[in-house]
Amino acid sequence: MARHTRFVAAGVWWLEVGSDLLQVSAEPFDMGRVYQALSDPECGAQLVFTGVVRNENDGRKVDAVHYEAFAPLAETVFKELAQEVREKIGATLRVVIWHRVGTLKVGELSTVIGLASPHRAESYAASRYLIEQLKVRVPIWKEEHYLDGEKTWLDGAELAAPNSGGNPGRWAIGADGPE
Amino acid sequence: MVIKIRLFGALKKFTEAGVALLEVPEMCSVRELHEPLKHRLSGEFPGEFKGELVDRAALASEARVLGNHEPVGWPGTLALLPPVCGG
Repeated sequence: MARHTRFVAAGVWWLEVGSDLLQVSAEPFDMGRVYQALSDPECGAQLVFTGVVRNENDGRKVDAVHYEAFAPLAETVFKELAQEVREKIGATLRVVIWHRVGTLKVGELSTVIGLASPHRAESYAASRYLIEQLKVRVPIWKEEHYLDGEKTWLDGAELAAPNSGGNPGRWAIGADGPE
Repeated sequence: MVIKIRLFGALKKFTEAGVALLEVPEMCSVRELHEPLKHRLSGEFPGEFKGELVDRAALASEARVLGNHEPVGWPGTLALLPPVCGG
């Protein structure tokens, strides 16, 4: 049975549409919820990608990364992305897109992209598409905190209104994406 | 009319609590918000604020990114979103 439920409480936003788990959260990930959302007897493949805070960027030693999001729009874009992978890759895909906000230390998980599908090919294609799109379309920002005490907001992809011809960072299915 | 704009990322530090109130003409377009906002922030943070930050930012509602030529003459809060880099 399809669920259409939105909860907003204690700094946690999440949106469940059908079987999807689409969330921006200040709380640590609950991987049990991820696998629960992906569970489907018709799906023989589950694929979970996690983004992790790295200890170096552009030659600078990183201590932590502070993530900020415009949560209402972010969850709307998550919903659009889930619809897109079903239309372009596989109608039966189950989708998890979960991103943390707040200050995360090196080694902490920042992002979870989860897919389930009858066969592995759809999940692999959808996972790559979702993480590349997340980086250029979702209103999330990160401020790196370095071991020397300095900190800086990282540059990224400019957002543009739909059909405006903007956002050159959009990434097509099957293309080689950035690292 | 007065428009309330939430600022994020590198723009946030130029406001109190991440919110700017801006007096603009009725039926002002999204693009027409940029100059008064840049003028205001460069006046308050001379030498520190860079206008490019606003030029590269997109204005959005809670539901979608707005086009440059759309009017902003509705009640509510808008958001100014600098280039994104999640993940």
